[in-house]
Amino acid sequence: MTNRMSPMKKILLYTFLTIGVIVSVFPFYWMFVGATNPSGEIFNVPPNFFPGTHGWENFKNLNENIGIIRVMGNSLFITLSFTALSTLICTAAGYAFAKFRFKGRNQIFFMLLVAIMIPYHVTLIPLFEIFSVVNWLNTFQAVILPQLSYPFAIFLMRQNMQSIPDSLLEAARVDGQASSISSSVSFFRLCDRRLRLWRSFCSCSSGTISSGRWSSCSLRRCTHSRSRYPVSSACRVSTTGR
Amino acid sequence: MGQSNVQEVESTPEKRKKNKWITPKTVPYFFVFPAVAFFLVFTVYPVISSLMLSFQTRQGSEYVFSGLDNYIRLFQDGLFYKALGNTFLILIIQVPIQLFLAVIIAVALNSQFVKMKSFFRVAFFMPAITALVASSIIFMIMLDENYGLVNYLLSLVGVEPIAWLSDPFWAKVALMVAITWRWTGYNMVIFLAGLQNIPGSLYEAAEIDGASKVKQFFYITLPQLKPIFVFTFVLSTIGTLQLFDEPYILTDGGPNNATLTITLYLYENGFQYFDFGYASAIAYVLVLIIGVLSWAQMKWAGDDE
Repeated sequence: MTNRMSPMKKILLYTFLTIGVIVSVFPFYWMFVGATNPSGEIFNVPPNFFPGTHGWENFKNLNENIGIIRVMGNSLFITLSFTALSTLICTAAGYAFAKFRFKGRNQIFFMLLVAIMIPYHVTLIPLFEIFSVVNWLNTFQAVILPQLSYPFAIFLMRQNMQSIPDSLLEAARVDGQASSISSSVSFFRLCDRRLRLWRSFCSCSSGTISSGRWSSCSLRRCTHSRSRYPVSSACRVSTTGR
Repeated sequence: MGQSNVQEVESTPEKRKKNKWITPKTVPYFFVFPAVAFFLVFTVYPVISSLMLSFQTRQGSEYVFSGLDNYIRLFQDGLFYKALGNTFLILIIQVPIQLFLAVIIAVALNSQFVKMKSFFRVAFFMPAITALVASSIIFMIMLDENYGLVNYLLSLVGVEPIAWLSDPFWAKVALMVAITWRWTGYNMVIFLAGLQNIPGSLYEAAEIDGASKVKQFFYITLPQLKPIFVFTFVLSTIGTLQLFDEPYILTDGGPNNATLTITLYLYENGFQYFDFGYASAIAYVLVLIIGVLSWAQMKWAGDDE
């Protein structure tokens, strides 16, 4: 490409991008303004565009009303345990699919791929029934367990592991680690750096998806008391009452 | 699978002979087992179970087999058609607008003259990482008919207050605005990745041949982005067909079911009327629609090559 661009065009380009950024970011700012001003002032006409000093009081009220600290703790617990377990399970499966040939490999992998296309709504009702039968309603495991084995993450892990040369695995074996388990462990250590980015991406995306899904539909049914709410549910219930 | 399970159980008491079970042949099963086990219990079983449920209706407290009754009822259900219509209207109007915006922003950001690229990228991506509930609530506040910010700003330029959330037409618009706000940046990042894979030599060649920037956009950029278009289009279609949180929080399907979507209707039937059989039938019709649409989009994309 050439290096010429008229100043006029540059200004247009930046104006366009800036407007886009304002539209994207303004709601966040507005949330902040609302959170730091006395309740109800977010509905003032004309509106107040600047952050106020009521942030701490609002937070205290929130904690009295819905126990926000507890709720944040719930979210933190769910997210951390989900991410840790899901990463472990999906990495292990991705590794097996990428670096081993075994009976049934293609069939299992195909089954996982098909599952990506099935809308999760199909599973809501039976899951709700399972959880009520085993008395898991209103427990954390009902939120954490169902999506642990996340096909998209397994798929990404497999793709990424395939790009790591087999010679690394061979090297680990030659280094005298006789059993396959320990050579696998050292393989993981070797490719740790290359995988870190992908791993964080996978866990991040699966975490987002699971929290989003479960906050919306069935979480409401599976965790119906405040002591188990994550932030999103508490937020919705206290605003809309639903 | 069952085989590796048995081995796992047996290997624990006799620790010394552990290596007997862990051989290069069995190792992959150990790695795959947890994922497959969770998958069977929490995905495969529910999928099959709800397929069975969709052929059953509740009589008293029992579910009894009723053949295709749920599906027949569904095809005579005016509200279902309404939900279907709403969902497709959003699909037809909102998805093209969103993808168009995403491409334009991606192309602008990809320009070598833009400084602070990562700042812009993060700013545009921020809506996508917000909790759906939070973003829906903030839109609810901003779009309030009497006290909302949007109507205030419109009043400054002399526009009458708009009943964003209680007028059937404007409620649909509000819903589309909220979805577009949330997902444009997400698609933009995917397009940006695609743009960066287009070899620069193509543009150099076009430059030498004297093609204008506009021509380059239409004859190089767009064709090269085609796979990305298909990918984002399929993703957005599936996402729109499963649309739930925004209408649930912003409008609760109202006014007068103007923003009722398929999944919202499914949820109402399942968890408000506890008609699990009927809700499962809705879910499977949705599966069918998504399957057919995804297949058609892939096919259409594949045929051209």
